[in-house]
Amino acid sequence: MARLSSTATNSTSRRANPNWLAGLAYVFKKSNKWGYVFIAPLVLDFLVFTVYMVFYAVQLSFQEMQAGQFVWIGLNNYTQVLQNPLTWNAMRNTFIYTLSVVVLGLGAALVLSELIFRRGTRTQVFYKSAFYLPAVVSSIVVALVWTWIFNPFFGILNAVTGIFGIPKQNWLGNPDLALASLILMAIIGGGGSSIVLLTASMGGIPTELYDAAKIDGASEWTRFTRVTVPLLRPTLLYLFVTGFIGNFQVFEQVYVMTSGGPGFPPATDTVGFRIYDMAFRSVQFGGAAALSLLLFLVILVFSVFQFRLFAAELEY
Amino acid sequence: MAQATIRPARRGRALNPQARPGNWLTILVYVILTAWAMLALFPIYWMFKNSFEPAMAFTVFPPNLLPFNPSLDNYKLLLSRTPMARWGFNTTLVSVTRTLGAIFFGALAGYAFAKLKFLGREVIFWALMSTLMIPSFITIIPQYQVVRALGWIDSYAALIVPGLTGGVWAMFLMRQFVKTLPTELIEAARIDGASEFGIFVRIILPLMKPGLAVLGIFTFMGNWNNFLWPLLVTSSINMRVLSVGMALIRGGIGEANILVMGQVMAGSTLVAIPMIVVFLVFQRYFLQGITIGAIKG
Repeated sequence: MARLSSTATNSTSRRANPNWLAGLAYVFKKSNKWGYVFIAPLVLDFLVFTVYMVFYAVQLSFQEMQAGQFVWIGLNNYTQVLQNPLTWNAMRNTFIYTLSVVVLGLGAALVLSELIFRRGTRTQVFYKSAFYLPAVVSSIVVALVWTWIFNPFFGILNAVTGIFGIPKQNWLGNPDLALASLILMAIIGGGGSSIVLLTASMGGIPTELYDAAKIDGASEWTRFTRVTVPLLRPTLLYLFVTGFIGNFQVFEQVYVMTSGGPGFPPATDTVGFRIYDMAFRSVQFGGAAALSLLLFLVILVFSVFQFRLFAAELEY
Repeated sequence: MAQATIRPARRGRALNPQARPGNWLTILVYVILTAWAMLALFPIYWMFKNSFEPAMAFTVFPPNLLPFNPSLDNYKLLLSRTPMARWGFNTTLVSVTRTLGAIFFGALAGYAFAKLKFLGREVIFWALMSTLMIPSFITIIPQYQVVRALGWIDSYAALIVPGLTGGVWAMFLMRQFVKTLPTELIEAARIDGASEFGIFVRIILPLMKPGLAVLGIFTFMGNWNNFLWPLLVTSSINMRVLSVGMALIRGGIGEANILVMGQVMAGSTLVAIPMIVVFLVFQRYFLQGITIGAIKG
């Protein structure tokens, strides 16, 4: 197919439109029509439940429900969402949460990967499984258990911090601590898949590079920072971007543990929770749709930004 | 793997040439790894342990690390007070159906994109791939509107139909697997007069069992733990799934009521155990799936 289509485009140019069409028709004639049949269910599902829904969301974002009818109101939803201090509070919380979880979590994963890599296969599998296990448990369940761990009166976290002489804290009820508590929870349970991927990539680094570095007198630390980390950059970029996209949509923990609170402005209100709250509690579907499109914009801009940042560092 | 035995000794010497090669360093490494593993697994242990405790154990401070007075009372009370069994049935039905859908349609589309030649294949493929970054929050609001307009609220159709084909990710994962299979096999079968669908069912599917296992496990896990969509499209207590039921039990009971914390922990354990068992049994596929799912292009 790749070869067919390239000959089709090579043999034609923009001014020779009929030839170009004939080329396409030829490629189509040679096509395996079963291909279309096989991808049809997926494409249909995709067109209905993704493409159509995105257009619907864009349309909703310009509308407002008035007396049971959707009415066109132009950019009002956007201006209202952008002027609402709650939006910016949620953005700020989400950025703090996401960057902390991704940066600290990835740092911990990198160190742990270095520590388990080059141990025996069994040891590696054992620790990787232990680190990954929390990720298979429903985040609702994890949130319920952590709510109990964070309990201000009888929670075990206060017993642990008490050993160090720290007085009892209301981890989820104190506006200064609530977001940090959610971050702590996410980092402790969340390193598994990063560690699996990082150790897999470490296996791809040629041993000769370490030998050469060693002959040059590089210390263990230098070898880690100058050989391992630079060569892991593509994997780190991937984990950074996917981690950012995933964590930026944090919702379930907030729903179960804090409902966006405590305090005002709400200390753990995130963009995902704000969208849910607007759409399904305040029944402002238009505003929620506008906010969800802004969420997408932020994710898009940041993903491109991260790619550029890492790409720039690659060229030296 | 020879490297595996050589490297630790080597690094020990590099850091500390005098002492015996890094024995204490190796011990330190294991201490750090084990401490972190225990930290990561502690919430699961804590849930499990507390699910067997009587109500009075929840008002002890500092709490006992080891089981205090274990019994099955929490489980009995929970099962008699909530439709946990029905939620378990709903969750299983939805997860199994959607997993089968993702395996079949994902493999079918993945095979077509990997091995069949047709006009527009690359264009369609990349159009699909480009939507992977779209947050589910965008589509979930209109999806809810459409499902409501169809009168599907509180039905299995609403829980099962949207995204039944497993979506772009399933197709992509399957395409990565099919790509590694030799094309000659397909061509030979075609010459022998096998139908295109016959080739897929009789040749491709059996060859990609490991891939199907990886996809099946991840889809099952994703659906078992899915929360927001089932929360939105169900309203009666009997149509809830486990994750939603658990979150709402907590809401109904109220945070302050510590007396029923044991039942919350028992319910959590019932939701978590099937996935933990699946993970321990299919560990290999999980670790493999993470790596394959991440390879781009």
